Amino acid sequence: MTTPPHRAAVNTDPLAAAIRAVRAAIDSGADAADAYAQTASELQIEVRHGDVEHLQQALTRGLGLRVQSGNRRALVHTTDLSDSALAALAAKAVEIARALPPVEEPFALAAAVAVAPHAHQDPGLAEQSLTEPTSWLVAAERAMAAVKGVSETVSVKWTQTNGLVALANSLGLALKEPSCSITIEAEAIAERDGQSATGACYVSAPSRGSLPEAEWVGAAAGERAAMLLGARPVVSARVPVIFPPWIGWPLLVWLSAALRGDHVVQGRSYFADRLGDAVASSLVTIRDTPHNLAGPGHRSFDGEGTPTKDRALIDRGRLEAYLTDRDSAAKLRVEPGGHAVRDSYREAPNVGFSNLQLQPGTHDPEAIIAATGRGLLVTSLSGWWLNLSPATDAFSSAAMGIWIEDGERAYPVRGISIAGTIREMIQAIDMVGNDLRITGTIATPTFRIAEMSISGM
Amino acid sequence: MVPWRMSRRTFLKGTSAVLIAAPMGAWGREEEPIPGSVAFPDDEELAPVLIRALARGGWYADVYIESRAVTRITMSSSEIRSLEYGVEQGGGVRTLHGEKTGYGFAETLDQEALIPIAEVAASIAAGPAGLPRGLGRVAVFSRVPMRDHLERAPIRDKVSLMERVDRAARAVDPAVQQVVVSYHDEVQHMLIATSTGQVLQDMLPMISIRATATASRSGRSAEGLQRASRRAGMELFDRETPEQIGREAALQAMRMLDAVPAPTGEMSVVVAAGGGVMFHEAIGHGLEADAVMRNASIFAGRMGQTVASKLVTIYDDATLEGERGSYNVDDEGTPAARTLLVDRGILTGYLHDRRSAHAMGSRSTGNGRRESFRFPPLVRMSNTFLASGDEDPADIVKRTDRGVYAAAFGGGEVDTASGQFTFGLIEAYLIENGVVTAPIRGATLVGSGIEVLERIDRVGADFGSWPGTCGKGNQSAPVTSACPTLRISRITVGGTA
Repeated sequence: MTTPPHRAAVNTDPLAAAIRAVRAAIDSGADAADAYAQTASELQIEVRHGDVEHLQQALTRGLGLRVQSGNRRALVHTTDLSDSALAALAAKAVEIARALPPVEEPFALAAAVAVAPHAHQDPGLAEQSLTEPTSWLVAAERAMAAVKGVSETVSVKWTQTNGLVALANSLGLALKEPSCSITIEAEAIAERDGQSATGACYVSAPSRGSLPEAEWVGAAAGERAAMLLGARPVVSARVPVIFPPWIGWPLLVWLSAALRGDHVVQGRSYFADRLGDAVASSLVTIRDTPHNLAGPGHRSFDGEGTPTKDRALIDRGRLEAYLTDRDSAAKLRVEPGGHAVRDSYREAPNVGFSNLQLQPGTHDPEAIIAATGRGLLVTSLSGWWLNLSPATDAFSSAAMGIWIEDGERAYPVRGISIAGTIREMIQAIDMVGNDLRITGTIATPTFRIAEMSISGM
Repeated sequence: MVPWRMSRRTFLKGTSAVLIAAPMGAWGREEEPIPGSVAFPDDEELAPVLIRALARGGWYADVYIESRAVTRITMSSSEIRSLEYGVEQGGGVRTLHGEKTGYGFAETLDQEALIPIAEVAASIAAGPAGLPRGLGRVAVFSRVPMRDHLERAPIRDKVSLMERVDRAARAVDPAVQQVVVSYHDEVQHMLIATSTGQVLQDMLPMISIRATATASRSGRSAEGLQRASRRAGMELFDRETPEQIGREAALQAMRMLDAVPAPTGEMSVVVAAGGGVMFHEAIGHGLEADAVMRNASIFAGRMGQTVASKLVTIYDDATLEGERGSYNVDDEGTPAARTLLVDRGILTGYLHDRRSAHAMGSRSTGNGRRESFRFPPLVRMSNTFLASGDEDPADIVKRTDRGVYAAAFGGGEVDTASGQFTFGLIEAYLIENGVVTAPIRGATLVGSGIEVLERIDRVGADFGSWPGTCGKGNQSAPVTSACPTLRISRITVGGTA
């Protein structure tokens, strides 16, 4: 074949399709409409034992059309962007919307304001040969295998999506932006004396330039497995728990569920009516940074066309803002925050974040360990999402990690679980590291929670 | 946006222990041929695609074409907040070369689009061309009848069912302050053409409804969840009425309002019927042969050995009529089957797709499944069951001095390489002196596969199943897991106390 799909030019303009879809909706009798369209080339390569084990490529495109008729709204999606298909889609959307009972408050579309779209962070990506990601993966796997104790390199995988997103609405809004991400998954098994442990390193970035070194990723996965060899349970205790950068993100997932404006409106969030209150330790600042171009979630407009803004959600412990889309902002009587997230054109916008970060503090991460007389450096969590809810904040998770005695790493531990309530945990953050590095849509530096309950034997 | 990744760590999400009549004995129903309704390419159009897929060699290739109509409706604060409808169409071509996979897909049903995709798939191989066998149609018989067709049911009927769920939940108690109802249905038509010469066409329906009730009283909040899901049409609601679903979600939230923090440490746990998610995690994923192939399962090399107490018999069965994890043929065209995995404690089988079977010199058990045409198949469970025993479930609790009664499960996660699994209890109670007492919140159970299976010391005569969604390798698949009431003599409870 002459041009591999991951390099072929995507020959559909998603913005032109979105504008045609909106017009078709109005022609079909809709009061208002918006359309979100995506085109992308996708590439996935998995290397195992030095060789490509899985190669996958595709060209994708699709469009989601949201129409309003009275106070009723429906979303209909298609992968066929021809004029006749869009006309049929629009008619279907209006028909379905009219079958719904109306809601109380009218929906409001984003006004047509000027937004400066972000530039593609890796314009050469489309010209990349398959050799380049393959060599990257081989280097990562070699570094993983070189870690003492690693017995099996389970997987190293490169997943790349390179495309465009576009949004148009019946108020004249017409926006288009490149959307690109590269995600790496590296997983290793270490084994000694019949005991095995697993380690993983997941990173994602908007460009090859913002990816960490292949050797760093491979070695990180290997080391996270090997450091747990010989692990044993400990007795139950209440001690400080240190979260290194690769394991702090579950806490932010929990917080983001409670910070969602739609959950607040529904009365399901424990942060309802707490704006302006001190909800966390003064060391805690959590920012959403859609304009950080090194973060894989960067975007100049959200899934409804609202311009995005870098902002603190929690500033030095104080609750500053909720995550809001247009619906939840209207109900909360605030300006829309630009937090409508489209997982794909097939789904209606959800409330979410773009690049969420716990801001760095002043401590050297090793100094945090040295300052901990007796405690746990947690290196792996499982099942932390099982009780995830915006309404109740009882956090508990199975954990593995390194036990700390007299400020030093003493021995690895397993078979334990850690628990606390989210609200108490963020109040109890008493040290924050200076080691923030953006390696995904959520990033945290090392931080310490002064006391959590650990259940062991 | 995927907020987190667990690509090797497989997990299962679901929302409730839905007790439904034991599906045993559902076999042997008169089988009905499937009506076709989508214009798929004919054999003459498919043959050149398979030839291209094997143009550089490879021992197997297939084409998977799908058209799926999906409806999703969400209601909160008694209002419809979103309605999504679409028909997803596309095709994927796969080439297997040794243990390697080449895969390409396109979001169109056009035959011309399949040729370049076949070339993408073929690029994984390197060698002389292989020749696919001549294609012949294979009849598929359905075990997933759809009486009240999902695509013929008007949207307003689906909305009124949701309103009934909402009303029933709110009627339980004024403390029930929020109810979120999610409805989802789909009708999937697919065609599979293989280089071994088969062309199969099938249709699968799916319906699910879920209610989340939030109760608040004097500053405390709790949530209750209830879900029903089957491969069926609108007749699902004959088995379980919208009122039952809404009421049960609200009652669970009310029961958990007064919950105390869960205890921590090792103790006896009585798992209620419907807690099969535990076996899905503790053993099921480790028996998927792609994990075994990669040396990433504690069950590798354990065939014929004792891996559980002799009270434990586990099987995977995709042939049960209408269950959420059921199908007629898997996504590689292999007929659905019932596979005995553990027989009275002895490991007797792994689950295979074509690729793992080829690598391990075995046969596919019909467990090659994919989320959609956008993904190549993986080895996946279907309906995974632990067989009933003969004890009275009430006796199992009565004979437990101190421990936890696990009434409803939130989901689970396993690391197949180490066997460590975790699962969450959304409704649980203390057992004190053989009696179920205070509700507890935030409890998780943590254990290691074989260790926990060996500690199952009582198995009840009842049975309950749990519809869930299993995640693996960034693909999701509908599954059911089921078990009777049973006791684990000792397991770590990760509580919040």
